[in-house]
Amino acid sequence: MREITIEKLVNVPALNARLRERLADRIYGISYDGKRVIIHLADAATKDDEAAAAAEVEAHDPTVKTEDQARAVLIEAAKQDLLTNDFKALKGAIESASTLAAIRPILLAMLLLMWRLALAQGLTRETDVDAAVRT
Amino acid sequence: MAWTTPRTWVAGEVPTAAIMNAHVRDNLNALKDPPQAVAENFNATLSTTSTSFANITGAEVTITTTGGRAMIGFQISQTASGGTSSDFTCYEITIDGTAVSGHANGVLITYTGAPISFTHLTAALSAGAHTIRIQWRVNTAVRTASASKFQLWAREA
Repeated sequence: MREITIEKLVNVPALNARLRERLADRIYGISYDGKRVIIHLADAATKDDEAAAAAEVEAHDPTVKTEDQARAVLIEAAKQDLLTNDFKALKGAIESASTLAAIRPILLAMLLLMWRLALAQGLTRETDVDAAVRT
Repeated sequence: MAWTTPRTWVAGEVPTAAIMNAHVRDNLNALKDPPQAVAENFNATLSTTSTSFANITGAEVTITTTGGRAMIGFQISQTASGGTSSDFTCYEITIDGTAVSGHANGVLITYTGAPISFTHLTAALSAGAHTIRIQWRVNTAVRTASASKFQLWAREA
């Protein structure tokens, strides 16, 4: 195994995925200590692979999340929203609604609640309800 | 204080101060305070995605032994993300760059992202300086092993 050490802040899962996509089985993975990233290259890696790996690290933006990381953020946000959900207000709105126009926003609020519950359980995707409902 | 192979006394022998100091005092001191070293980091931000064993940054000690076995202890607050419940992180010990287990999965496998600790007794090491390192790896490209605290120690047994 050969190693390249580069001082840089990185998003480990994102950089790992990118390097594996680029170098396939010529990379074993990366290690990170909070300041430096170590690229673990297979012996089969060429000089071009070394240069490609180094270039990927240089171009890497640690603020860009992977799909899983973005999903984890959404799930956590959904959980926090559920913690502060005002069920009393929702009940009051249901009890006082007497027209279809008044019921519609209540149903949308309930849809949002159901979506957050499903998202928090990892049972749905963030795109399963449109942005207008989420906000 | 260095260890001296204990003297075999013969009948009628008159012990001298030098002999007593070397074989009694110094050996007792050596037993009380054997060669030992510790490396620790309780505020670490370590992670790896390597599927081949890689050194854990900072988990490295060097002891100068007198020919006996060594005891090695290691504890780590580790977590894991990605992959499935059948994926794992495994650990290896190297002494002077040579893996001690002779196994692809090292000396220890953990399927959970929870703290672990282990101790290991080596075979007798040649007298002299030996560098002991801890390595880790994951079994799949989508798993990330992380650690926030560790302590490694080694001492001649």
